[in-house]
Amino acid sequence: MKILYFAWFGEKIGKRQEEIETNSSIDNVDKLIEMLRKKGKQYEEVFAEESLVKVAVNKEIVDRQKKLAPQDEVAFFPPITGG
Amino acid sequence: MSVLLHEAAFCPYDALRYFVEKHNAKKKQCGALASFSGIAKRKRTIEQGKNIELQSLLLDCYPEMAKLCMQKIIEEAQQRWQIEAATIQHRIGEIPFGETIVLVAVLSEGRNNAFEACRYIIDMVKIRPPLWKCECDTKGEKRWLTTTEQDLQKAEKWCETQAINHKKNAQQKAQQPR
Repeated sequence: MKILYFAWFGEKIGKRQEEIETNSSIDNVDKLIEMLRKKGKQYEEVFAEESLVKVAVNKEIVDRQKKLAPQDEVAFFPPITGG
Repeated sequence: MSVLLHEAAFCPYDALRYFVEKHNAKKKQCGALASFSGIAKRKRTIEQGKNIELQSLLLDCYPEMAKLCMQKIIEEAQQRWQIEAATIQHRIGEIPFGETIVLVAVLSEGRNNAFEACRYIIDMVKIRPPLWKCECDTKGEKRWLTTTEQDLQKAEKWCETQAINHKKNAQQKAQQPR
């Protein structure tokens, strides 16, 4: 699964994009976040404040119950501040 | 209708000339061109009215999603007002002061539609596309901005206007003799 991080999320995690192997148990955004949290302190910090974590799947804003497929592109970012 | 993301400086005047030539050169039916351009400014007022000296402005972007979002905003403007053409051009990456951040332009037959559509588009561009502004000050400190209440209120105003118009239309329909 392709994961993207924008703004200070990318800075904190130290990368803007990564490919991760998921299994069938990671079938929605909420479970993906739980899995990512375990990857390290920097991930924990990014996902600490729920209201500050916005998610887009395949370029559409979604909520945490959104179902995921292995070929999805999932983007995490702080609230949009616009142009 | 066009959406462009620029990674390097672009001239808003050239962009406007090209836009008008492309959409009005043949038919010459448009009597109005309204545009807005946002420029990166050196000083910015922060809370408590204190000014801080900035070094540069950085705009992070999710390009593919931003383009889709901006296209949607233009489509909404087309549905609300009679316009011939509209463009949104946005700079991304590091932006030196004095350079253009965003250009919105609308061509229409008369000025009311051009002005209102242009205003709607820029108000929505300020809050909806996946863009994040970061200010870097002269001390080397970075500050990611949050959406201002003022921007949200401006965008919400359009939703209110839409709700009022719907209500008016519904009332007018109800009053019409059957």
